[in-house]
Amino acid sequence: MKRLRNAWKHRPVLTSAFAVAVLLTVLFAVRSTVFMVYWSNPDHIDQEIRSWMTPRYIALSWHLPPEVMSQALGTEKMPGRRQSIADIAREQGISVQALVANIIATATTYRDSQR
Amino acid sequence: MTDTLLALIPQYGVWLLASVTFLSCLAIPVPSSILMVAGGAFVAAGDMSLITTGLAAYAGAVLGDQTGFAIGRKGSGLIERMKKAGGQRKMLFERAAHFSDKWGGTSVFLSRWLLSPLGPYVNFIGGANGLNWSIFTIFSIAGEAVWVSLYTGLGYVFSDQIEMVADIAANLSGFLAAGVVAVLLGRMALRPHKENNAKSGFSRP
Repeated sequence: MKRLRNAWKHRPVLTSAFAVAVLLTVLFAVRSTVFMVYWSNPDHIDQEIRSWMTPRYIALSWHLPPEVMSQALGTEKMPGRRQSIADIAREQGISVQALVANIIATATTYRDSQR
Repeated sequence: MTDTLLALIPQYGVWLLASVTFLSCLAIPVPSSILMVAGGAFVAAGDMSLITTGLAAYAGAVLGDQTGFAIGRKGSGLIERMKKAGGQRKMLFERAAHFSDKWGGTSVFLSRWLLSPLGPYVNFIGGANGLNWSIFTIFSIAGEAVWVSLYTGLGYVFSDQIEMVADIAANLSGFLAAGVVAVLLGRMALRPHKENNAKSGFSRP
């Protein structure tokens, strides 16, 4: 403690920088722990569907076969690469939310049928 | 911003990844880790090719390091002038130069991936301190290879959970980087104070 007080007296800038670094270290430790606890909760296993995701990616993330995915999108087969669901929603003239709701409903039906 | 950038990956993946890794080596706050993890996940989903994804991120990172080093070099004249002024500052710069001679390669390598938040500053400081260019380059290309494979690999393996992986990886490397900086600053701040510090020259802790 005495050393710390001494350091503060003689090297205020260096000591403040040190204090900030310690605070940041603690902050990152807390954040890492919070994230690990959050993600270890089974309720959070399905990644939330976001507009940037592609159908292939959602199928992979939610463990859905391609035909279930294309059914959810209302297309014959999986759309080509490089199309996000935002693009698909725009093409179909519906909102992204509506398309996401569709995907979730189809996924739920599919999962129930697998039980 | 992250969601907007993620939306651009399927369309402009290669250019986007290269630009993001390039900018992140120059201390410009772009979400490079989540984008690389997402790149890996898109490879797993079959939306992108492994080789172009990896090479794009890698090329951007290596070029970014070289640019940061060159910027640092431009600033080295300023440091020379400050050294000439003598006194405490001169001692500080001599310590830094000594540290960089001894630990240059290691710090370049580790600050590419394990302590990645420190990477850009190591580039600038290395260049300014006159770190040998070939040493810098060798450790930079080795370290960036680890960085790119680690993050795209994590995205590939945990492709169904990229937000989780990116969150945890970013916070853990933040924790490690802040911890290392805290230890280094602590050693400097807490070393015993000598009354005539300037005269005693630089004492090794």
